Amino acid sequence: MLTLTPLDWFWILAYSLLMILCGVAFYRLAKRSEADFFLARRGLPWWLPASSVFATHTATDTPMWITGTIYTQGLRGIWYATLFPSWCAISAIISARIFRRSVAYSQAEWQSLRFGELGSELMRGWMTGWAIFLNMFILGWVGMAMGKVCRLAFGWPDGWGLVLFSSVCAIYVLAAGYWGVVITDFQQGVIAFASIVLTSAWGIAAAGGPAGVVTRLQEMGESWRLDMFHFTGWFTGDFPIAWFVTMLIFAFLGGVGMATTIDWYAEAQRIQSARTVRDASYALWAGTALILIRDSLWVIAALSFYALYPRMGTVSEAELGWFRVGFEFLPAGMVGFFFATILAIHFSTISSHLNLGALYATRDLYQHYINPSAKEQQLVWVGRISTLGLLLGSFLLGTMMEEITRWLIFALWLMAAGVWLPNILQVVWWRLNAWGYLAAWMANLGMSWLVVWVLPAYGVLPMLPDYIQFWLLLVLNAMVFLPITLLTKPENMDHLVKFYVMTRPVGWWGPVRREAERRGLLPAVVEQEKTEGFLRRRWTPEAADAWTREDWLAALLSALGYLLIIVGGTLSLLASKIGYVTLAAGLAISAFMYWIIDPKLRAISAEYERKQSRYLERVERLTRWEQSE
Amino acid sequence: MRWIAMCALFGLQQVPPQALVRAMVISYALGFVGMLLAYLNYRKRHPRKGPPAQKKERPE
Repeated sequence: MLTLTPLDWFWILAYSLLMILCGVAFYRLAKRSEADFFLARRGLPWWLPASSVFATHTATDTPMWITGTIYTQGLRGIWYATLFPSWCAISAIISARIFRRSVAYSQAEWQSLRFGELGSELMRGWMTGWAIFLNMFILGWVGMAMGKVCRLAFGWPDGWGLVLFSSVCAIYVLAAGYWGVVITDFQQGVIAFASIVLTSAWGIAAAGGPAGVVTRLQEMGESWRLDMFHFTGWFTGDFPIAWFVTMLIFAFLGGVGMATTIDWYAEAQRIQSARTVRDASYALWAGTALILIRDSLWVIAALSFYALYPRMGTVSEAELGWFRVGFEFLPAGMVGFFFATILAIHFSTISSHLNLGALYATRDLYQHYINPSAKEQQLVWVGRISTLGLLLGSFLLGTMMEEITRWLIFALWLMAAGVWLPNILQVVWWRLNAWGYLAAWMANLGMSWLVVWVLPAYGVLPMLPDYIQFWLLLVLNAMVFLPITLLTKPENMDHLVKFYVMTRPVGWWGPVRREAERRGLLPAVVEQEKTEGFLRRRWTPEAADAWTREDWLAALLSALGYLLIIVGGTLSLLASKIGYVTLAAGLAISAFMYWIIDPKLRAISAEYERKQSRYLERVERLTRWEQSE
Repeated sequence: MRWIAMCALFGLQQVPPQALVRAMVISYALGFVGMLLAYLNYRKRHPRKGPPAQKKERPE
């Protein structure tokens, strides 16, 4: 248990007060409208949603999870942590742009724009209910992680930490909605990043610095832990190359699509709150780049923790390693600052999911299905009531169902794996219709449980490695949703043309594009200008709307930049010369990516802002059932 | 693909069957409730027989 000095208490109380005051300060802005309460009126510069992406995905359970992984897997465990968010490398260039142009409040509302008629409504209803549950569950899960930290720090029962700190956070979310979330996320992001650097550096220093960590591991005969690519064969062992390749494909190709991972739902709100398409792209890219740098710091701190305490009894004990480094090695007075950091990473995740869950409950459930003619003030109040409902629901899930939460989070990720392909196809293939997409979700419910648990339990299938399960689920689901798609009617062409003109999706949209051109909604031939060379840097809005080699090159460089930053950043912290060179290469490639894509994004954004109000009006009419498509 | 990492970390075979059933029911139940609500709303505005229900004007 911790003994806190008055200075420590000052940090904790001052920080909590600062967050609540922020909420009160933005109360007036948030109460103006639904768009303010949930999207800050789509007016944020890129760095605000970027800091929110970083802060939201820095939760109390994240250092636990990363420390547990590195403790058991060594440095190669970094791929578990970093490849997962890497889908944002491609998404920032491709799907973020498409989603921002849709002006959909949520992924559920997107269903009404991408698909039409009864099928789209069933998908919207399904996704609404599922997303409300998902957010409530994440709140309970992250809240329980806070409960465990409070038990370690103060000896409290788990439920106390869950209820107390989630409730404090709810005060400013209730008052200021997304305005409060994003403004406090910025502060929390800055505090969390500074403290992660400080605490991790302290942990590495306690283990003798970068050289000391390497020497200790070598003396222990554990040098393999320093190898990020310590594979156990192509298909054998616990870290096969086939697994790594599967992760690469999942992460990077997934960025072309939408909702291929559960993180998408939170990112979608941040993308939509950015003031332009360009701001949305940079918000996603920069927020995730910060996550990767954070992971590098945590990974080396976790490795230092292993070098200090190599014989922890269980993974659960090891998971608290980063917190132990902070509580045991920081000097008196700084421990309170460290605890304020824990509050920062806790509040940022709790506030985001409270507001996101309330968004689905208000926009898609209440406004679309219960009271389509609701006024703005009513919607803001429903947003607040939903926020409170989610908070109470999270207490229920966190305290009464603790024994199943571990398996539930696991089940939810599994569901994301099963719908990976249709989530990409909904963006890139015009012919995928609502019935096919709905069939994919429904089939996935059964298939995932059959392949992973039921059939192996009855000896019909052997217990397959996880990456093979992924490919098998992909094929089995495709055998269901592809025939259903092709045997049912395509979506109504009018609806598809409106969707295409508004969002300009990438991929196979030939028939829809030709129809839009025939109707005079798009120029038949995009004006061809002489470029100054292989890469074009001057764009007309019409030319910038088309997908060109600059987009593909930027996406490729973005992914490569991320990979080099991950490897280079981590090795640099171990004072490796190769690490410095790799990190410099990653930063240079990212700068080149910016040089290529920025002129195009500027041209797209300038043009789109002129059209946006018309699109917003149409989306509003669809949600209020005033327009039937 | 955090779910794969979860498999590796927690060990797939140790999942108690009753926890799985509860997890499955809870995670899908709200989705089906939402879908039912969507169907009822759609049918209210697009009846199988007869003209579609009159659309309400948006309040000022």
